[in-house]
Amino acid sequence: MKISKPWVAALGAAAALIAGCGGGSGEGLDANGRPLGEGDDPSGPMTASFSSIQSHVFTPICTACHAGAAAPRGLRLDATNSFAMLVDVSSGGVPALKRVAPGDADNSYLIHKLEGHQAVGARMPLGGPYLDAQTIGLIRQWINNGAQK
Amino acid sequence: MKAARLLLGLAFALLFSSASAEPYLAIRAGLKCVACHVNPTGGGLRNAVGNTFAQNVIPANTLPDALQGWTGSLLDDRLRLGGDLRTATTRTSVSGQPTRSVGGTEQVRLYADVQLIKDYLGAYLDQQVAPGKSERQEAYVRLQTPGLGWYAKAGQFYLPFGWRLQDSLAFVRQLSGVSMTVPDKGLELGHESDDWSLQLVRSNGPGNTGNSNGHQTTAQAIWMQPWGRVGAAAAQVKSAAGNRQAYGLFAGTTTGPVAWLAEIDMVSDAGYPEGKRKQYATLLEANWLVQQGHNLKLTGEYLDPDRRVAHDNKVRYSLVYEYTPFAFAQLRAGYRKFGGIPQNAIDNRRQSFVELHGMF
Repeated sequence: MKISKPWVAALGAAAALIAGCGGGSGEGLDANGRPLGEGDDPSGPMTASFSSIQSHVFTPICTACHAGAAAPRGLRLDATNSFAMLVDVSSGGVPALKRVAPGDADNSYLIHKLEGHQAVGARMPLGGPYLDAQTIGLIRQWINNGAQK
Repeated sequence: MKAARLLLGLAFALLFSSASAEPYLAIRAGLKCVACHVNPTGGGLRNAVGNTFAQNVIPANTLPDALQGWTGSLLDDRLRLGGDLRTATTRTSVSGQPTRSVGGTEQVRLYADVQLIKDYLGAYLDQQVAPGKSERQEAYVRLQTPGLGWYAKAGQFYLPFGWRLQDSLAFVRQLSGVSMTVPDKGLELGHESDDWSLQLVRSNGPGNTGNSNGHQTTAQAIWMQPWGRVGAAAAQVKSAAGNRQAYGLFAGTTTGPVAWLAEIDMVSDAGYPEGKRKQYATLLEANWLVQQGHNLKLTGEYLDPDRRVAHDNKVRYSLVYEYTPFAFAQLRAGYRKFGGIPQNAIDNRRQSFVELHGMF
């Protein structure tokens, strides 16, 4: 198909227009895009504590979908709600599994979803990038240590 | 002989799986979603017109005679079957981290539609069988007038809100909470005429499960014209987690060989710890029909995750080439560039992918 110059120009102009916009400058924000001081500072290295997992994983990654009144399966992973919605709560996908079973990472639905086990459907975060082994290892450690807040 | 050809065609389709419908195809052809899909709001199983379109209009080459004849229809059109396969390898680069590649099956879906009372009552199923455990995506009964002037769907289905994009990770789909990965349960009433597609839905709300009670009301109207189409959608969620309102405007048109899609969604959501959060997302997509069977897709997206917070916006740019050599098989290769605040390396990642996509 022969394409005329005006359409090439229109396509080029659209590309230039949208490519001209970048991400926010981040001025006055922490690494999660929230105003400084609003939440835990996620700039340090991640540890096997709930607050660190919240600020390094749940808030920056999971809340892209799992937040607000339309969170899939009603699972809200913002800092206020995540602990109560995860720990000792039956999962919707596999009710026999707790989302987080304190002391038992191997049988926690959260770990199955993050590692992409066959029995629980699509791996999370949906579409990737998936969490690396070290990050999942810290979440496992938090669960195996009793999943304390 | 005919049966053998049908079986051969089906086997070929299963082996090499095909191009699926996306809104740009409807824009480019000047057709409504329901023209090619069993589902009035589009996506999933194709009807006879959709199968003909997929075999003769989209691909670069026609199938050999011996492989033609698959229409998806069995038992005098009382049963219709289809499927969709996507397998991909994705390479992700994040500053300061090793580049990672992940490959495998992204989805395998099987579709079925049974005409219980021909032209009046049907049952539809969309079952995702991989990856992981089998999960029901859509399952509903459909009562309709012949020719689909009016219809009602009851059961589990995707809500109508904006462009039904295959890319469920597009900002407009993430923000609206309506995508082809998040079905809801309820009742949908719809009307299809030459100029209009209208839907009104009362549903549980995808977030209203477990301890969270409430409901969602969703409405959408699309005005079809020879130059393109314009649509508006609204959704109101009543939830113990907080009420939510979403509004969307979307449009599509063509300029020569380029099919354009645009959408803007605005959300006000009281389900956040700090209170109500207002957000908006936009999408602009150009699909250039380079030649038959070759589509170049250029997409720009913008997301403001909280209008009260300055300097926090995100962008996402995609360049995707789609090559459909013949019916039932498509190769996709693309590059995505994400942009966000510099403090967050993941928000500034790069992704490239190659995907084999099939549908029958």
